[in-house]
Amino acid sequence: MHKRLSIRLALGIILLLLTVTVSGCWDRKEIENRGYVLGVAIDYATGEHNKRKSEFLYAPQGAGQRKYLVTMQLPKFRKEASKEISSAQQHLIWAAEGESMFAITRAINTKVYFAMFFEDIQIIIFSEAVAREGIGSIIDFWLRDAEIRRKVKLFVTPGRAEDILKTKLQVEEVNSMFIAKLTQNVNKSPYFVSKPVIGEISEAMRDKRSFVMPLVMVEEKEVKLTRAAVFNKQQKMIGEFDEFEVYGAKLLKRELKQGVIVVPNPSDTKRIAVFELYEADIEVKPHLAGDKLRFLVEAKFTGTLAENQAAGQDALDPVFTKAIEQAVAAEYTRLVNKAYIKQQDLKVEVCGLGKLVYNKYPQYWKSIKERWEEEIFPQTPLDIKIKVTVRRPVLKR
Amino acid sequence: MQKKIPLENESLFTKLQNLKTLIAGASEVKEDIETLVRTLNEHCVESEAYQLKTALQVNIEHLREILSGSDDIQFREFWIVPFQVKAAIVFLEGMIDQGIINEHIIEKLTASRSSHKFCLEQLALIDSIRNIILTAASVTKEDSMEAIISRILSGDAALFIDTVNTALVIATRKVEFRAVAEPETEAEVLGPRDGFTEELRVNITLIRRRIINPNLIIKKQHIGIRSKAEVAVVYLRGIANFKLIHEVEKRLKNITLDIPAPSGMHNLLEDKPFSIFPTVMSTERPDKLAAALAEGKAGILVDGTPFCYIAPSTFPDFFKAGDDYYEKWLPAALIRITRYAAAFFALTMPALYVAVTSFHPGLLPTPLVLTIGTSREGVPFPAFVEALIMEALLEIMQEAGIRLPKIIGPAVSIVGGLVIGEAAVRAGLVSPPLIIVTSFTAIATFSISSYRLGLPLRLLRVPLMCLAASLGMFGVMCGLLAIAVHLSILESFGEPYLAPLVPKSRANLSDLKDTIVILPATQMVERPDYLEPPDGKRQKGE
Repeated sequence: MHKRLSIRLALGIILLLLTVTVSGCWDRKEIENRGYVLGVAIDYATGEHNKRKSEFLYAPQGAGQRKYLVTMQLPKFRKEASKEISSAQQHLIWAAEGESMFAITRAINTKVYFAMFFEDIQIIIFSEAVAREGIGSIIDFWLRDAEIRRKVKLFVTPGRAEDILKTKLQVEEVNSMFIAKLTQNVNKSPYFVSKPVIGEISEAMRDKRSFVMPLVMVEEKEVKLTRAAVFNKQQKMIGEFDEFEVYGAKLLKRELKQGVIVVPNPSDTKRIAVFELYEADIEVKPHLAGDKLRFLVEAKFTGTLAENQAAGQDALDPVFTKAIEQAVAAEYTRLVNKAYIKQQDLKVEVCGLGKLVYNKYPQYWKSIKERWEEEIFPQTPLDIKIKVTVRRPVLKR
Repeated sequence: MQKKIPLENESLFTKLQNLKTLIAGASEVKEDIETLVRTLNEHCVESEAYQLKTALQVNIEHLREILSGSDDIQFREFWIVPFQVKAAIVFLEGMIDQGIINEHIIEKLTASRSSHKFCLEQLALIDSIRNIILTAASVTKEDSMEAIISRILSGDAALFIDTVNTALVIATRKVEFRAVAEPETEAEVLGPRDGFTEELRVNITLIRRRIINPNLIIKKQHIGIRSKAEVAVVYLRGIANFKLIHEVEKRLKNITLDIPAPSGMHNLLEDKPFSIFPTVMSTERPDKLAAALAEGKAGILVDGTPFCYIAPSTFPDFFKAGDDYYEKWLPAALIRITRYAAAFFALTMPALYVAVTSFHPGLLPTPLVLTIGTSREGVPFPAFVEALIMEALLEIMQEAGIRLPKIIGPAVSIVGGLVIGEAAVRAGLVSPPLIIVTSFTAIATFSISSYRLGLPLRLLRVPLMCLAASLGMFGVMCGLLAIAVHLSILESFGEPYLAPLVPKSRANLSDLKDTIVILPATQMVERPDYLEPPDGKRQKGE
């Protein structure tokens, strides 16, 4: 009995030691020795670098060209003692050129000992030039890699994407984190696309749907999110929505939650009145009569009179309130129409209307699925019924 | 050459012969010396060898032989005046109440009185002394020398009378003991302030005072071969399962240690002595014992220790505190859950830190990763070594805190907490997050209500850290699983260690009312079913 016990004990200890020796601490890497990539910018490689720099950017590949410049932004771990140098950059930038995203990553690993680690990527920015040519081929790596999270946000920028990462912002924060956090304001200011996450865009790509991404711009020490870059089924950027089209498209997509509408003041048309939305109840219904499809948007908006610039106007006057409500409803109708017509013009549909048709008329959807964006959707009329209620017109007297 | 051989052989043979006798003689001498030494060593006296004789002088001689070497033994010889016989009283000077011996024995025996004739007519000499003259409360007749010696050694006085081969043993025990004071290892907010002492009789009083019932049974026995430790098994008849009581008594009888230490008695009662988890709970609180008795458990009180042992004790019992029952049920339940959480963190916190920082930084939110990364920048050790250093420091400081005289205590906390903690961070040897983790671990360990359960958790921290450093979170989970398996095969006095967390049947589900959570007292109608109490109902009605 005693002997058996000691043999079992010895076996147990050996097994325990085996875990250590056999595994060799596989995958162990100290937290400060990883390269936490926070943002990625993808541009076309330009030939204007000098030769030495150019060699530093070179990513060896057996095939393919030196086509893209991929810039990665990493946080700078600083000791507390050096905190007073606040003018210094908050981030580190590494880049390489090539056609393969993976080869580029590995080329960067020859320049820094903390190997690139993708689990904390916040944003990926495509330059407009890259986006217009199509992102399908490059996004494959970012969808395929195991370390990429579903919540990575995608953006398009009109200029060079690397500039967005390299800019020193006014705030003491890494640009990528700052931009990612900026998307939180999408409900307060619905002028740019909400939820531009890689997971949803991947779904759209797989379902062969069109999709949108917000534009990010940089100027001096500021960045700005605005508008929308529209991608068609082939993952090529084919156009842009302006701010009002984004607003209208959100209404159509039943995503609108808050927002501000500025209309001419009914009592003094030279001045303005402002409606702030805080409760939206939107319903979009497809109607199929024979072969004719049409959509009906029914929406009930409740909000406050946020600004009344016609001084002396009694905000409690029911006639005035009614007029405001009508003006706001008209403005909403205009926005929805604008967004709808823009989509019909571009022959894309990014508001999930096709899904509604599929839900209600699955058989019909089957027959038109292939022709939806190109033929059916541009021909489908839209009816709009919007009712606006202004509640709480006066705060203080 | 060949001719010379026999000659040489002969001389060699004689030499060999001489050597043999020498060796034989030497071994004989050695044996003699050994027996001599043994007899010298075996000066130990067996009191069973002596018999009580009628002659007082012989008896006293025997006693002197048995107790020779001890100077605290007192022989007081005097005349019993009424009967005109010689007598002697024998006792240990530090363990008796001199008042009883003076007033109720010697004074009564030496005073001459007229009624002695009446006494002798009615009764034999020994009985008349016992029943008429002595006024002490408890006087017993003993005729075996062994019993008398053991009574003397535990503080009673023996009265030897000439011409009688029976002695009278008078209960005169009076030993100094610590006053009943607040338990130091189990502080509570609302609980009673009295705690057990080292004196068995006082401890029994504390229990008797709480449970006023003739079915409160206190069975005393002596354990140990050389020294006889007095042990009392306490239980409630009709509530405690007889199988349990039988098992407890059997285990106590099986203790064959010659001088058992009272404070370590639980180690002799464990089901699996090799396990690091305690399976016999010790408590200083009489109210805790009373509550356990009411549930159907048994208590083991040992003379010489303020700790009472409760059998059986299962894993959830170590997380209970008396306050849980004195407070409202919801806060009490939350506090108890906190204790479980604290135990979990005390066990795993450093391991989780090592696993997450060196294997899975993706589990942390990005800002937290950056914060930890920044603070670890420049620390020369991997997280595991860092954690190991802090763990060693923590253990050393805890040990120092216990062993140091109370006066130097603050010095330890200043040097340990401020100087080492602060300086290690400043010097960049340890990162601040790890200081937080270590402090949190220490605080979590302290908040488990049982000190004894804290010990295995402290012990298991380091193996878990090793697993975390080699296999990451996978290793931590393996370690936790191994611990869970071990806990589920452990037993305490035949009851599963995890009882009643995993009820045997639906009928036993009500046991869960007092485990991780606690329900209002009015809801706890039944005693724990896993103990199989003969009377399962705790409340009247329904």
